[in-house]
Amino acid sequence: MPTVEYAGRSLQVNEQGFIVRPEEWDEDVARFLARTAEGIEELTSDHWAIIRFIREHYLAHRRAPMVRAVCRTTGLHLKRIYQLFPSGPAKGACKVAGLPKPDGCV
Amino acid sequence: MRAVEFRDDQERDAMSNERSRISSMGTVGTFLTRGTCSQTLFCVLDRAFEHPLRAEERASDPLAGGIVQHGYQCGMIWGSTLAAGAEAHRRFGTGPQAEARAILAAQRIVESFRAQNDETNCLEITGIDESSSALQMTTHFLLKGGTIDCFRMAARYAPVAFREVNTALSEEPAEAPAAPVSCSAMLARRMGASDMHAVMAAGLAGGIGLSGGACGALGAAIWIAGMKALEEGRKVEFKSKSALDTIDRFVECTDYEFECSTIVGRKFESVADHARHLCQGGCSKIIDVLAATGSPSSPRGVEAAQEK
Repeated sequence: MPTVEYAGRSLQVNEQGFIVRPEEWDEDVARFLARTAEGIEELTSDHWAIIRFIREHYLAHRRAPMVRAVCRTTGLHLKRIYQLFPSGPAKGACKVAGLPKPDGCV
Repeated sequence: MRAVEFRDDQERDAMSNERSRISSMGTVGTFLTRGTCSQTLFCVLDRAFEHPLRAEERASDPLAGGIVQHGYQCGMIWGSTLAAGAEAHRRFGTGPQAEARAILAAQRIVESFRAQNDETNCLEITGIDESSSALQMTTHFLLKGGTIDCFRMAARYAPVAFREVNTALSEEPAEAPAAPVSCSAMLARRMGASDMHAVMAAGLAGGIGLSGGACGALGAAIWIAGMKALEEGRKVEFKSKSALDTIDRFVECTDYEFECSTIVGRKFESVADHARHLCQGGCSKIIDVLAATGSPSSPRGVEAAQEK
């Protein structure tokens, strides 16, 4: 399995760059993933609102929130979310939020 | 428990027929083995109609969660509509009449699903307002059982869907407009799908059964791309990268809107109204983008479509 080196740590990622062990995530990892995987140099408060909601939802339910829920909760239109995370909420934002790649809905 | 009241003997016979073909335990078992609501309803209805379509059913996985977990129409509606299209093709072959019948069956699917569950969108159905307190969410998922609710819903809805599809396809034929009748069937053909697959996709038109929900052509594109992946020996995943890529191209084209009624600016009044829209070139850009995105020979997607 591929790994990425970050600040002396070795993070396992899948072939699409999603980290394998979500418990390894912290805000510094988010900044690192944003920069290397999404080309985002600085995470703004809007970025963090999305990341924190996705993260909290994952920790509560062990799955990513629905995209409509991200829009509804953050109050951001989908277009704005794509501006913030160019590869979209399901790929980019979930990756930066340290979620693993989901396998199914049950 | 409230007793079920039948309007007449014919309805009682129909209910008995549904129960003999579709059992609650069988539906839940299918859900557990197939893994998604979309594939479950597709599979259960196909078997009730005695025509299993294994690859087609598997390819419907990404439609669960309201299209790749976006929260739009419940996967049970997508799966039931594809199964209804398959039955429409068996009964009426190909062409405008079969496509019109598939759309009318899809209308009944959407209406009956809404009647049973109050809502049609996955986000609302799961009963979770994401702004709910942590205690409310914990109660729902741990005590009430988020997924168990979906199992129950599938078990309750499968016989209803079977009855509605049977009824819609057994009614006196309405006059079908000239082709093209369905945006999603049109897209399916553009993507190289067979006549059967085009009729199967037909009911997705106008946001499924002209209901104005999330774009049926988008769902058709994701489904057909899934079948192509299976043909090529690749896996179809619930949250596949190719499905998400298709969504990225789609929203770029629609100014980040998903729902048919928002994109078009209105709901369609009838199959003929929708056919007129297509004849006048409505949604042609979306169909171009989706057809190009889904074609292995045109990997550039939007760019390829824009050059046309």
